[in-house]
Amino acid sequence: MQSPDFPIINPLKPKQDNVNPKPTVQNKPKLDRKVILISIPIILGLLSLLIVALVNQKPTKLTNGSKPTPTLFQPQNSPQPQPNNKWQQQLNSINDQLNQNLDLDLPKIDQKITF
Amino acid sequence: MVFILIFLIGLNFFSTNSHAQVSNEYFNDVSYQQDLYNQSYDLYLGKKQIHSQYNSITTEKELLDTIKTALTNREILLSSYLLHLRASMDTYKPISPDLTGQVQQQLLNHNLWLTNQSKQIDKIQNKIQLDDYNQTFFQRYIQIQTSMATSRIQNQINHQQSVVNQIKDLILQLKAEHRLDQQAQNWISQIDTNLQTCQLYLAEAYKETQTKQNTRKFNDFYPDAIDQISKSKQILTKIILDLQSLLKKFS
Repeated sequence: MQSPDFPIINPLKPKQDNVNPKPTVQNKPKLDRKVILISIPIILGLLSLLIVALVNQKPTKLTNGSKPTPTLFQPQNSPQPQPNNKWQQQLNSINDQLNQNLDLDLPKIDQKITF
Repeated sequence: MVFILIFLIGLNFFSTNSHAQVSNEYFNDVSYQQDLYNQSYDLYLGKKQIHSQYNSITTEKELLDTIKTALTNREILLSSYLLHLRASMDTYKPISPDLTGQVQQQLLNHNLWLTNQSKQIDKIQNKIQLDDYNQTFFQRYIQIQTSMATSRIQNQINHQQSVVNQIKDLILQLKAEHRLDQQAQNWISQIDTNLQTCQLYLAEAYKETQTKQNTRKFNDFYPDAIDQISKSKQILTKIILDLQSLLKKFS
């Protein structure tokens, strides 16, 4: 009797085909519309909070407690010009070093302990 | 390359931290030894009072025992303070390695002397031996005080000289990266003059440390030297304020 023309499958050998099917455009998981619909208002809410926080930010402390008077060349709401940060940081570090207290108090002793 | 750079920065950070940590440990030890000395000294004062009242052999022996304990604790306290001074000088030693090294060596010598001297305390049996010990200590203590004051002053000179050097570097960088107008050049020239004045004050402070010592009494130069250092610090503070104004000009 002639055997049917089926491929011989070794049960011990793992299947080679279709083990890891390559993803195609068709079978890529689509973004769930619900997730998008939920995340958009959350992002918008966070952004609005950030804007509110920035707008309500307190001005930096001034020596006399008053707002700076605007100059001709400076619009009222523009930030104050900042000195060059790199130099400023270096100078602050030097200033901190200068103000270090290195002096060590002398021990308090009696030079002549006797009868 | 980046790894090496990070490694070097890290190494520098940990080295600076370890200096501070060691110095802090010595400071704690000095405080602890000061407490121990104070306790033994109070005990000595108490026994001295009792002995002056009763004047017996027993009270004399008890007094001698408390004197020996107080002397031992005093020498240990001084040793720990000298060690603290020596360690604290390491931070700014690169500014003046030779001079700083010499002062550190003097501190070490005094430390060794105190350690040896402490071993003699147990042998004291009577007032004559105690007076001899006190006399030897008194003569050496003039030298110890001189070294302690020199160390405190030299450390502060090194510290301020380090600030002067950093300000000079900053000015050099400013000159290299900015085209300075006449006004800025004038300011920098004024800062240079002030830096020179600082260095003169620091040199004066160093001169004070060379004051000749009397064999009978410690000639305390510390107040005059610290006065020069304070003057230098005032000028440095002003220079930093001037530099801040100058930086605003470039912003």
